[in-house]
Amino acid sequence: MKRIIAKLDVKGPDLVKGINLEGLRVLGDPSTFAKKYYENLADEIIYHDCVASLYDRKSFLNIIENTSSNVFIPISVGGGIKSLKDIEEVLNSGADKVFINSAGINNPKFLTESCKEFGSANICLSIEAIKDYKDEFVCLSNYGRELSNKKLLNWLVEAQELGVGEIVLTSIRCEGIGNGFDHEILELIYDKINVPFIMHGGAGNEKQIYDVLKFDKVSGVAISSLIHYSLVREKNFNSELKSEGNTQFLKSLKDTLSFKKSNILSIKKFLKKKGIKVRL
Amino acid sequence: MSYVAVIDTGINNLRSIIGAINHSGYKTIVTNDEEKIMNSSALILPGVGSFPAGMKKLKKANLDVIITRYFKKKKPILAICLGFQMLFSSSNEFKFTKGLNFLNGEVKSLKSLNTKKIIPNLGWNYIESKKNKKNYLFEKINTDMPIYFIHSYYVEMQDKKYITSYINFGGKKVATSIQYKNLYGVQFHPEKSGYNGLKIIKNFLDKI
Repeated sequence: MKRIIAKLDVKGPDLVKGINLEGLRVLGDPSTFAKKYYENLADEIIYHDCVASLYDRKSFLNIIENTSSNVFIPISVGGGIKSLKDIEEVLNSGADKVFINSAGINNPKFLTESCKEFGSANICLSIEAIKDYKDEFVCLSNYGRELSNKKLLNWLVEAQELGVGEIVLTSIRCEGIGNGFDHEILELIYDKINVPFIMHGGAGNEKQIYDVLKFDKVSGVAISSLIHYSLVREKNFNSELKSEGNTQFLKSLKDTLSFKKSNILSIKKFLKKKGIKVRL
Repeated sequence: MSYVAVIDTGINNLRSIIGAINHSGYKTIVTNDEEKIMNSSALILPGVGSFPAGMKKLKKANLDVIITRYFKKKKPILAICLGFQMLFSSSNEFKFTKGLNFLNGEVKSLKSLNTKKIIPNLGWNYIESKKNKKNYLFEKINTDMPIYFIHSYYVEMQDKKYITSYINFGGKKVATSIQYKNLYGVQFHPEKSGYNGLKIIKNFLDKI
């Protein structure tokens, strides 16, 4: 059964969304969005602390706590996970899984240690991939801020050998644009995928989601802009604003990008019609 | 005052379990304290992590002994995921480790089933529950609804009559829950399985 995962990027107390992981717009209170997606039959919530501990980590943990007490689907949490203690902290706040990017790149052994302590199934690798000047896909760390020495395909194979139980891959160039997923990346890595694999970056309508989910080894998709922008445009949806970040978008609701008005339920109904197994 | 005791094994997704129990209208206390556990109306043994780490934490807090005492008092116990696996004889996750041994069974890697399925089994699976009036956890449940799983190991049970549900894992039947006297165990995560999961937890709590 394929999973439709709502990905929520969080900065301080706010849900934010960028384009190619940059230019973060403030959208509202993350727990309110998560609750709505749960009711809308999302199969999972991803919380990504996109500034990691640069800000107050406590407010991030509070968001997980609030969500896990009234959202009864899995919550996957990452961003700034550097130690076994960090993992324990987010799991104790109500997360079910953690995803690790930078700390795994800097110290691959950390992935093995985490799997030993918490079980492979609870340790997910997050990959942020981009093409370098040689036209090769490489991995970035720190929410797309730093280039690493890891080539995409090699790292994917290595990390699976180290024991990670799942991989979520973000294509930076597709992220936040809504023009479809990165099929070039998928083709490059497809034969080497041995664990549940989540594709992220590019969902702009249900057809594009179908186009990746029809591949056997793609276990699910993570979507953000598509559902966030639809939700904030809903008349009855009210989400408290907590910060004074970039709220321009929220005030005007004007966007140069075209995202179809959509929600998780309608996406799932579309997929079911197309013969994809989803939870409805 | 009646409450549900939730064992605190250190690495746990306790909040959603607590939330789900509160949702059914029961109070919870997270504790490893013998007196508080013994005075509770029902006991939840959750678990996230590896089998050896889980057993080590139970033993360190003398919980293996306390849980056995609780079981003998005939009050309902619900063991979830790793908690479920720990009810059995032993596991070979990383190394051979003895379990709580309430039931005969070995915890083995899903890999040993030699199916084409990707491991871990992560995501939503249709479960097939035994149609039996006394299969309490699944009372009034639409079993066509998928339930959330996340595990790399499964239990190969000797006492098959206590099995209350299965999944079809790449053509192999894998036991996903048991009911044995006052003991209930589930491989899946009812607290993460949406509305049907909440119903399973409510069904358990109705046994108080």
